[in-house]
Amino acid sequence: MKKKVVAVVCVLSMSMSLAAGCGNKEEGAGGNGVVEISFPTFMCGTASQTEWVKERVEAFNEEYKDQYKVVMEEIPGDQNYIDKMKVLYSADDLPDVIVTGGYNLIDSMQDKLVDLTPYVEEDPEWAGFMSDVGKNVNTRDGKLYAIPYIRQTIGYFYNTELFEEAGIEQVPETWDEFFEDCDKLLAAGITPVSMDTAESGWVTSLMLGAMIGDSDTGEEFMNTNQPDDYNNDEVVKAAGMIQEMFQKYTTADAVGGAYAEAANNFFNEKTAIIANGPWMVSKFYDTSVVSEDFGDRVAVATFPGNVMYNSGQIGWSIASKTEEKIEASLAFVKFMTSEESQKLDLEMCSVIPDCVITDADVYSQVQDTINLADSASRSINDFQSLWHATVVDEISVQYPLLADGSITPEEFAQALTDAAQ
Amino acid sequence: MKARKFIGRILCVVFLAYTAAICVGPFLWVIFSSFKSNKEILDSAFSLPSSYSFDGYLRALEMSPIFEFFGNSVFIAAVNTVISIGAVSMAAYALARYEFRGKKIFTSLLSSSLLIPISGLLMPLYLIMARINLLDTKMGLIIVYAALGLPTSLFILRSTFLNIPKEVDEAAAIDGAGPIYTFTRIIIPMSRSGLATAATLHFLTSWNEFMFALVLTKSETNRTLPLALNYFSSQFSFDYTAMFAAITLSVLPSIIVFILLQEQITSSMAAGSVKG
Repeated sequence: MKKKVVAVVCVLSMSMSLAAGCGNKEEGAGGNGVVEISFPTFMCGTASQTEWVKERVEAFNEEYKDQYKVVMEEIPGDQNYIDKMKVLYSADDLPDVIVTGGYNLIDSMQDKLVDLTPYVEEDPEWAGFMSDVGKNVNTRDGKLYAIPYIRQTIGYFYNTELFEEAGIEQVPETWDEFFEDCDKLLAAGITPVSMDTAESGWVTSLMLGAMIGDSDTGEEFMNTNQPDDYNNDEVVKAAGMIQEMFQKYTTADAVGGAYAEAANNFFNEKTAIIANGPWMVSKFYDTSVVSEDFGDRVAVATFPGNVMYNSGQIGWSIASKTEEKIEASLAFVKFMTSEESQKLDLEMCSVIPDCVITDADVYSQVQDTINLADSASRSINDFQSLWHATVVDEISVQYPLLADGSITPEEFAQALTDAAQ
Repeated sequence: MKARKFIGRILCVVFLAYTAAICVGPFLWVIFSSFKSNKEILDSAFSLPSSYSFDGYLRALEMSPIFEFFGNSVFIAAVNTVISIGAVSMAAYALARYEFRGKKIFTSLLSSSLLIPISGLLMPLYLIMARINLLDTKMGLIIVYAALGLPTSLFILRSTFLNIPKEVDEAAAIDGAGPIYTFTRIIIPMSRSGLATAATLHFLTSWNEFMFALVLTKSETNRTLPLALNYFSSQFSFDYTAMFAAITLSVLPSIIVFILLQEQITSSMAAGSVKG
């Protein structure tokens, strides 16, 4: 009997200690009146802005240590971040500050986001940092739901040495010239373009978008938020060109490959061209990835027709529910979107700021990208920011079919339309 | 006759070598890749490293708290396996041995949760955990994982108990053993193989689970290993060297433990398999 009593006491005490050890700590304002706000971020691990966000959050917590504290939650992987935000939104438990890095969550979550318009209007200095394009991307029905801090500027990078080997003296100005140059590269034994199909085929889809945007109606389409109908001449024509590129001008691993394979082919000088943004530039000088002096052989160009991705991007949103948390979140977002923070982002991560910064110390390709974007004839937005998430997912399914000729460009456009509707 | 025996032996050796290569090959590939640069990995996946540098390991440790997440994984998987198997074995025994009203409905109800997709459980479980203040706790994950593994464990253990003849229970009863005594002292020792199978499957499910760990936790002190492995690739950047180093670091302790304890593990798995 005594044994049994001892056993029961042991089990109870173990259970209690386990429960105590696993228990949750209450969140909220600290005892010293410091307001805590939650900030989950995908900027961790290998993500390009990891160092920047760490440095900035530490700086904010130091500067406002008597008033506010940002509690950062690392969510590795962009898609994991989006998935978690969707669950938190459904549970009405969004964090205080959200920044998605390009994914458009405003349209699906705006009923839970704070309208930032009055706060920006009462601070002209802060408002002065924001471009009109940046504000437009983050505005719905006249209400500003996120503060812009990045300008999405994308052209394509090319290997000058491989272009010279193929006898190409200047970058193509039209898509016809582009394909002629691809033939020249092929004749010189060089695979012209890096492409991919997996994970929404980012690199390929940038080419697709640039092809679509090479006309007035195409440019308008590539600036339309969440289009429902892809059955138009521009999309069909562009899909035809992408089909030709898959079949003639890219590597064998393009079909089924993701960004990593496409980038590696360019880094290893197996291909001469890759479409991507300036955040890639630091890798051109990373000798664990590329050979010595590779960066000196890479230049940037606008897409044929002088088309550039040049748009605002979804920025920092606030979903706090109490006045004191909104105040703390505003201070944090203001800090992260300040001229100083944007300049640091540009210098540390080659991320083009939304505001105009003229005295930053950056790689030549980054400055060239900014200059080209400023002088581009046509400015378009990228598919990930504009198109329905279902369409973005569908692209990875349809590209391999387009590549092997199982579907026609018309069927490709119809498949995207079906996904959108 | 001798030639046939010789050929038989050679075939046996070839088969064993092939099986060993399939088992060990992926581990060796991961370990060798952890010493290669990203360029080497993407250029030629199966080549040997040009030099043996531990930079990948240093970067892996800098980038993600692997060891902390590993410790959390061990704790959460072990505790919830013990709790789940302990509770489910009692339920399975009752369902296998006793006749009572609603037994079939009860069994179907417990098993039917196998059919509910994880994505359908995310939201309700998040809300429940938030309400009972178990978000971002190890206890929260332990409870969720214990529940998630319930139908599979129940299925295995009920089948195991059904395979033990009822006469065993009856003989014990004649000798004066009550139901609890019969269950703990006779049935459980005779069901070691089924218990080991259910526990292994349950442990592995908890060990590899990603989505609930992502949604229900937010601090490093409560997160598990599958999350750590996501630190090394994002949409526009990757560090495969560090990722392979992290995988090596995370599987190495398990392999070492298995090598040291393989005799005990194998014998406990085999024990009871000839009984009943």
